[in-house]
Amino acid sequence: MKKRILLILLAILLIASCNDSSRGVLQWAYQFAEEEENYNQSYLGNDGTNIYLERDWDIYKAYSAPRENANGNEIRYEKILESSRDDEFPFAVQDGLLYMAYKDRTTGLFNFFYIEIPESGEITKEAAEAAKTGNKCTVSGLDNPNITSFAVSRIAVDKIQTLFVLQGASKLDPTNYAVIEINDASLEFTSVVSGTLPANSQMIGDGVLKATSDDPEIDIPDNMNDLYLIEGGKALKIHTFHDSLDYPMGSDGQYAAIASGEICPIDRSYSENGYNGRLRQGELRFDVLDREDNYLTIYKDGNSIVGYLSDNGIYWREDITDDSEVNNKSRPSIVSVSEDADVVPLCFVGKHGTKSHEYLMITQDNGFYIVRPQATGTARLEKIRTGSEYQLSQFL
Amino acid sequence: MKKFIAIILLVVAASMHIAAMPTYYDTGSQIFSISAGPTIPFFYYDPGSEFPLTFGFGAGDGQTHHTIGGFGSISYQVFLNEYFAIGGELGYHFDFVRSNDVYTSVPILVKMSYVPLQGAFEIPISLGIGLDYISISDYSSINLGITFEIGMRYFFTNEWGAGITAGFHFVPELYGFTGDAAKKNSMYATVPLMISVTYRH
Repeated sequence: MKKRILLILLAILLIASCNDSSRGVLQWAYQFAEEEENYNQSYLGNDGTNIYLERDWDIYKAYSAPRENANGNEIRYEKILESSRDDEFPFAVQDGLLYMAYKDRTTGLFNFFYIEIPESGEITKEAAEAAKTGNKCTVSGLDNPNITSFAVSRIAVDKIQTLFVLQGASKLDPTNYAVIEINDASLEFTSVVSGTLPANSQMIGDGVLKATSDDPEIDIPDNMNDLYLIEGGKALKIHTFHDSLDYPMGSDGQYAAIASGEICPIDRSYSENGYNGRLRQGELRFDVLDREDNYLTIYKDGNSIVGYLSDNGIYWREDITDDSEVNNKSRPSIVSVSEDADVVPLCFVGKHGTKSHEYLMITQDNGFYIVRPQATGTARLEKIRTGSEYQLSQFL
Repeated sequence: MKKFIAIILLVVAASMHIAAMPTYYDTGSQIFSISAGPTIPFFYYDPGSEFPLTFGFGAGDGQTHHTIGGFGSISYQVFLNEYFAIGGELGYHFDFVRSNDVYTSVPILVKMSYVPLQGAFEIPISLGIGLDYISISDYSSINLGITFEIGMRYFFTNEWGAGITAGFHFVPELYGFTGDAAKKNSMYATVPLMISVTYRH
C-alpha cells in the first residue's frame, strides 16, 4: 500500500515537473498581483503621426483627435495588439514596423520578428502569429546567436539599440552580452558590441554589469563585488565595492550611479571638481541602475544623466552648493508630474518643435509635457497645449 | 490554534463515545452530496519569496494576493462498514488575484469519510486525496490535492438531508527538491465554508 501511495505521489510530481514555465502556477498568481501594482508602460517609437507604446504587454497607439462635443483636440489611446504575457516582448517601432521578440518554449531561445503596422492601425492576432515565422529577423555578427535572455535598453536616443544576453542560464547569470541595433535596409539585427562577461557577472543596467569573483587568484573578499563598464567592446573593471548596489532612495527605488569611474548611490553623487558649486556639462558620467532589472528612461546631457523616470515619477538632478563640502553634491529631486501619485507617466526623449535640443518628455491622458531644466539646477514641467495636431506633431 | 486542536480532540473523543450508539448505515450504503459555498484564502507559502508565508485575503505584502472565492463539489461514496465510506469527489474552486485574473482549482479526489454520529443528525469527518488541476491565465499544472472537512447535517426525511461543512483545501505545487525546479515550489491553502444537500440510500 505504501509503495502504491509513493508511486502515485511520484507520478504527480513528474506531471507537475513537465510544466516548463519559469515559475509555478501559484507563483504566477502571486506575481500577477505584483505586476498589476507596478503599472508597466514604455515608449516603443513613432511613425510621424502616432506614438506607439506598450502597456502591460499590450501595444497601444496614441494620437491627437478632435474632442467630442468640445473644441480642441485630445490624446487618445487605442490598443492595436494584445500580446502574450509570457512569451512575447514588443520592444521597438521603427519605420512602420513593430519589432518583437518571443521565446520558443521548446528550445528556450529567443527569436525575433517584425510586424507591419497596417493603415487601419489594428494588428490581428493572425497577422502577428504569421509574422513569427514569415518575418523572422536574423542576428549577425555573433559567434553564437543562441539568445536565452533578453532585455531592451535604449542606449541611443534616435536609434533603438537592444541589449541581449546570450547563452546565459538565466538573466541573472549571463556569460555573454551583445548590443545590437536594427539594420534599416535589411531588417536584420547587427551586433555592434559583444563580448564575454567575467564569471559570475550580472548585467544590471545600460552597459553595466557587476561581477563577483570566486577565483582564489583574484583577491576579492566574498562580500565585495566588481563593477564593470562595457566600453569599446570590452568589459572594464572600474570599481570594487562592498556588498551590493542596494542603496536606499525614497521609499521603493534603489539606484547607484557611476561618476567619473566611481560608483556611488545617486543621492550622494558628486562632482570631481565641483568645489565652485556647479556641475559642468559632461563632467559626470552617470548610469542609473535598477536592481529590479527595470530599464529606466534616462535623459542624458552629453555623458551626464540629468533626469530619469522612476516608479513614482520623474527625478531630476538637483545641484547642491555647500561651501563646507570639498565635493559639491547633486541629488535627485522629484518633479511633480501628477496629482495622482500612483500614475506613472509615459516618458521618452524627443525634440520639441523645430529646435534641435532634445528634452525628456512625458505623456499623460491630459496632454504632453516637457521637463524643462531651470537655472537653479532643478526642473519644472511645462505642459504643451494639445489643442491642435500641430502641437502634437512637434514631438514626433 | 490551541482552541482548534482542542475542538478536534473533543470531536474525536465524542465520536469514540458515539460510536457505541446504534448505526444507520451498513456495508453497501450509498451517499451522494452536492456542496457549495465561499472560500477564504488561508495561506500561501513560497520559500523563495520576499514574503515566504502570507495569510488571508488581500493584496498586501503579508497577504496571499487572492480574494475570497467560491467552491462547489459533488461527491459519491459507498460505505465499507457502518462508519467508514469511500468514494470520489469532483470540485471546482475559483478566486481572483489583484490583476483580476481568475485562479481556478479542480480537485479530483478519492474521499474517505468517517461518520461517528448517525441517524437524523450526523457529523461526517472526511479526508480527500488526489489530483488538483490549477490554472491562472495561460498557466496550469496538475498537482497533489488534499482536503479535510468536518460537517454537520440533518436529514429531514429518511433519505434527504442538508448541512454545513468547514474544510481545508491544500494544494502543494511541487516541481522538485533541488536546483531550479525547487525554486518553483509553492503551496496554497483555502478554507471552504459550504452548505450541502445530501441523499442517502
